[in-house]
Amino acid sequence: MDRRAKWDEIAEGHGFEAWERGGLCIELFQAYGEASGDGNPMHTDEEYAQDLGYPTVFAQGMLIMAFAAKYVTDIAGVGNIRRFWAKFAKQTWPGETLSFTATLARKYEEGSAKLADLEVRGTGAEGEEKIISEATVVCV
Amino acid sequence: MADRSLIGRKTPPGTAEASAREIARFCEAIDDVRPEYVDAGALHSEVSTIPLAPPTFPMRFLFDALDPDLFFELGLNLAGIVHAEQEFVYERPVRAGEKYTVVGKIHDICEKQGRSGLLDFVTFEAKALEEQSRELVFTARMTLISRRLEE
Repeated sequence: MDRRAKWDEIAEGHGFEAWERGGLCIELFQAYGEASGDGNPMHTDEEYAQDLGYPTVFAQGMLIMAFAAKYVTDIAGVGNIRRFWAKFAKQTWPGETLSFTATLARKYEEGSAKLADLEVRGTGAEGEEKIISEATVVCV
Repeated sequence: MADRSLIGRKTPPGTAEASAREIARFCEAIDDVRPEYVDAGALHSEVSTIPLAPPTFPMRFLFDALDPDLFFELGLNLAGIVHAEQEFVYERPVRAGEKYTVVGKIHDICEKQGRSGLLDFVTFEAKALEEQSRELVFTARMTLISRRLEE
């Protein structure tokens, strides 16, 4: 889906089309753990997670940030992110579906670059915030 | 508690490589395979012909490149650590095949009272410089929270 934003056509406060990411399961956490080098068993070993007091395994924060990055890249294009920050507000459990949304918080020029600050959220089914994120992107 | 005098302490420089194979594997795992990341042949002419890494890929090599001694010196409760925040500031995208010199440091340490006891907040910073040119490519900051063990 093309969400590419044209700097001249969007105003501050603009809300971008949401993206839903389902398919969150332990197999995905394992695949991400292997591909990213994050070997923490609290994301892949149910017994280990329960010993730590969690009901079950949960997604790596960086996996959720990778999804947020994919969403922002769909808006801004590959290679156009200048700054990307995220706070991992709540765990994401197997079986959940996250909804990613973004708002244009500010647009401005710096030299010849047209920049936009986006406020990005990833929320669960009840609207609870899982990831709170900010991205500064270069626009076309 | 974590020793605040460690703020500013640097790790010895480490080395890392953004491997094209690992970028491809990472993209497959997060289901974000794009021609810009994995297939140089399909690139548009206005972008680099070298595959780029997706924004959060640097985690794959970043912290492996850093000497863990400084981390252990903090004396955190390792079982109680969670990743709280992450930030990347990119001077430009990471390119496949590039090698980096990575320098880490402790950016900040503080403690806060949580619902179930004291929490240590530690922010690590890592700067990745292209190995040959010494050009800064990105800065990453990772904040961890560690639940303090009862003393």
